[in-house]
Amino acid sequence: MDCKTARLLLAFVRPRTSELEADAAQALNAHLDECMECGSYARTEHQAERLLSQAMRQVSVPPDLRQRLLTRLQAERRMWYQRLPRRHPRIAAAVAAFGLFAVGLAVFAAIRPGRPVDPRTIADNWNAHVSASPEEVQRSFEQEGFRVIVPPDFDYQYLVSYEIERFAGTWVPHLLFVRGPNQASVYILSASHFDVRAAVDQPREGSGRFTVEMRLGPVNSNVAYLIRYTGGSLEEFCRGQSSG
Amino acid sequence: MALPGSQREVHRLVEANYVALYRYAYRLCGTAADAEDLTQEAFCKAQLHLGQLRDSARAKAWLFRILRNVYLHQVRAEKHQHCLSLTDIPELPERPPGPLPAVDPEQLQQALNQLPESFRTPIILYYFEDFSYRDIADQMDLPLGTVMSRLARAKAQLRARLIDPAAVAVAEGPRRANHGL
Repeated sequence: MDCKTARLLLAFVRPRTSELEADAAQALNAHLDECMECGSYARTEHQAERLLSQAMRQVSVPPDLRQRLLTRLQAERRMWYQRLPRRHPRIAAAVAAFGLFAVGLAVFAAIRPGRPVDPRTIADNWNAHVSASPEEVQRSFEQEGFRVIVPPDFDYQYLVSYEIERFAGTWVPHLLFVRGPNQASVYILSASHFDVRAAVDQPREGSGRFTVEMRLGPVNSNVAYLIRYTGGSLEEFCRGQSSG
Repeated sequence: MALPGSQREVHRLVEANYVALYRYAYRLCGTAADAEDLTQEAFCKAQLHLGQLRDSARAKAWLFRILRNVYLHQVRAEKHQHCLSLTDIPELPERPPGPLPAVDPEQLQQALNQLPESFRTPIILYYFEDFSYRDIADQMDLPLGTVMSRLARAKAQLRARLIDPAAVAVAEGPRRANHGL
């Protein structure tokens, strides 16, 4: 490296750091070690840089500046929100409306009376489901978006309720038959949600109080009936067994 | 519509940067009162536009830029700067050997006050916050070469005023040193 280049590169040597690539810095150092004139020049330059840098940093900061800054920023923030309605009336109106709505909702939730429980209405509602015909049940399910064929073998005079219920994470039609002390629950499962064919092939499960079995729906209906019942047999819920 | 930044973020920004920002402001405008006003204005603007700060690692550079813009806006409004022309600064003579005198911060401020802003800002950033040439160029929206040329001239001006041109490097014999590299 020649003296001219070395002096040019010295501009990139900073008081506390260097902007030179490692190779260039090494070459420059080597030259400064060899050349007395440039070495002396570099030391003077470095000293001058250090003196200016030190003096530049000697600025005393007022001790309570931080607090005054935070106070001013807080005031600015408050003022910004106070001026908001004038600058953006629509947004302010929307925010106010939303706030009123939220407050109203909260007040309503806090003071509204509990929902009435009227045993008579509930009994009427449940009784209305009793002894519905298979066609009425299917129509009712269809109105709720479930086009299914209800189990044809059951005697619907023992039907006490039919509604859409949650089964294994899916909403499915459900029928409840009661005869004497025994009952049979029928869940109508669609092949689009359940592997009904595999389930039908499994044996009846009846180790406890309930017996569970699967029956395939009518041909091409793509449904299966999951039946859970007490009494050990479904016979008493089927057509032609009413006299028992 | 810009919403003010969250109070916690703003506090964090103040804590981390108010000292550096105030010192920068002081060196830019030269008085404590103006420096405080400038710092406050810069933080107020930052609070209002905090959403524009994408990379929190660049917060300091972003704040310095805001402060400089506020300062320039004020200076343009006042229009009473009396600056030296730096077009005719002579090359510094080679210094004779000898230790350099300490630089008085007040005299430094006087010398800075006489520099045009376009020369004062890069020299403050250069000595004060260790911004790289590239950072200074980004701050000022200037080409790298322009920044280097302005820095060289501003340095020459400061040295001519503050460091005795008769002084030179200590006449030491050759020795191994890394020369700050």
